Amino acid sequence: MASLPKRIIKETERLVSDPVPGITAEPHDDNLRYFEVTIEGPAGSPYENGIFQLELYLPDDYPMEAPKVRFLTKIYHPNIDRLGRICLDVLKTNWSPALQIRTVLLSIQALLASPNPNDPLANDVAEDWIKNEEGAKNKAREWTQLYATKK
Amino acid sequence: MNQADKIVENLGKKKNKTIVTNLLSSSQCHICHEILNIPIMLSCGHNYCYMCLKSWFKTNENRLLGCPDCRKSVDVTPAFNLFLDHQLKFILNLVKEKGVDSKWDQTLSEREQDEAIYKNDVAKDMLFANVFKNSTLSVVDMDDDGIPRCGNCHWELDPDDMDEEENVCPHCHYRIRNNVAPADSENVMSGSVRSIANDLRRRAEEYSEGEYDDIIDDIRRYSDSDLESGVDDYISHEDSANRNMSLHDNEAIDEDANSKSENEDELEEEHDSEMDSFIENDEEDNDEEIMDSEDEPSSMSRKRKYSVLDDDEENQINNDANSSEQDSDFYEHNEDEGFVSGDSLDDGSDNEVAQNDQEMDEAESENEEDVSSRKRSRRGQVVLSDDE
Repeated sequence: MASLPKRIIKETERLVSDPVPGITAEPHDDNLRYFEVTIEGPAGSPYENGIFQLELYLPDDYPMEAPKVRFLTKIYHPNIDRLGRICLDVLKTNWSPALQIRTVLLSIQALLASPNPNDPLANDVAEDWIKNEEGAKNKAREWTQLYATKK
Repeated sequence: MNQADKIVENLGKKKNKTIVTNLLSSSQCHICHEILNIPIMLSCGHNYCYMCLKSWFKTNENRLLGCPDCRKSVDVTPAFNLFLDHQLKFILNLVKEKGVDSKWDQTLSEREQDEAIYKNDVAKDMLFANVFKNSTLSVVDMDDDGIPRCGNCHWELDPDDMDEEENVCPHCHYRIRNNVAPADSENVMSGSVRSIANDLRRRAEEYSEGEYDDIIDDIRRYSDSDLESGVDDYISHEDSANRNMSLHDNEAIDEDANSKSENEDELEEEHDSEMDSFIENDEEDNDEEIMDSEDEPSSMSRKRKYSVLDDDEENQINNDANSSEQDSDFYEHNEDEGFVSGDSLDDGSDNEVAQNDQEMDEAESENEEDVSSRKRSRRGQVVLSDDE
């Protein structure tokens, strides 16, 4: 395996020394490109009090290519599908090498605070969200309780 | 004591340290997170290392390239920031003199390696992995229903067809450097004036020096006098390769613009109507051009240029009926003003030939002068030696 680019080392150091509130990201011992991530559900959202686990992988072309991020915890959200894949512009076409691990994770946290059912990934959830927002939010709260809360 | 020394003294050690710290921390490349190496500035003012930008552009070869920080489309080739480079080299050399650890040495040698690559790319004319070659801007002609067109081949571009992955002209496959959007504001026009000027600059080699300067002057005049529609007509001229014709048109417009400034109010209306007649004629040219380009697999503007010139010559010889019809039409529109007539368009190539001949003659006579002056000086020497 090629040596780790300096930028990745720097970013990792800073994630530890100057962590983002409500977000943790730790590199895997075996593979320093693989991060175990947790994001706290934003206050005021149906995901409040939940702690969501994600995995983040930095591809070989990073930072020219966006990191690959996926939810490991089940979540009821119109832009996140059953496999945990995330529909977010900065992870796809709007990626920029000036973005970093921390900014991407912040964007995901913001996505939890403001779901966008008009650009859905999980169609059934989005439909539910548009037809009956209160009901959908209740279901999201239920799922957060079920899957994202430490017992 | 000069001004700079005074400032440094007044600030004191602490503030001067802050300045250096600030300079270094703000000179970090947002792509590699290191101190900028070979800083390249985009038109929005953001700076990145050459190597970083090169690989960012290369991984997005056919897409609409944007600034990593502000996303402004990179429609002009980014430039080397000499000033910033000097400042950073100066500071890094000071650090080097002080003696550094092996890690620093490695960093410095890496910087030198990248600089060698940059210099090689400059020497071989392959900056940014050639992503700015075979690229153009989309231009919008307000007199053509505001349809965006490829700046290279004038193929109609449909904004909906422009893929996120491929911002390229479907006809000539040039990458389009700006956002393809139909004209809905005057800003688009001023943008297109700029883009035309840029494209011309790139193609400057196709023109002789005088011709190129004339064209740039004309573009300025158009954009200054709010006759921007004319510029787009003009560029279609340029592309349809009636080079003689367009040059002569513009000479005439020059004269007109001069007289306009003398007696502006009176001539304003007449000027407009003249422009209209030109635009009408240009539209015909455009149609012809599109038909041409449909038949041709790739852009062959140069080749077309020659064929048009040949046609002109034939016209002169055979007095082709069609062209003389069009010319007389032209003449009717413009004869009152002493404006350039259709007939004189054909004469254009003649004139140019004559001009060339004249230039040749001048050059020859210059040579003769040279020779004779040399003879004279030699004679002078002879006289001197005689005196001796």
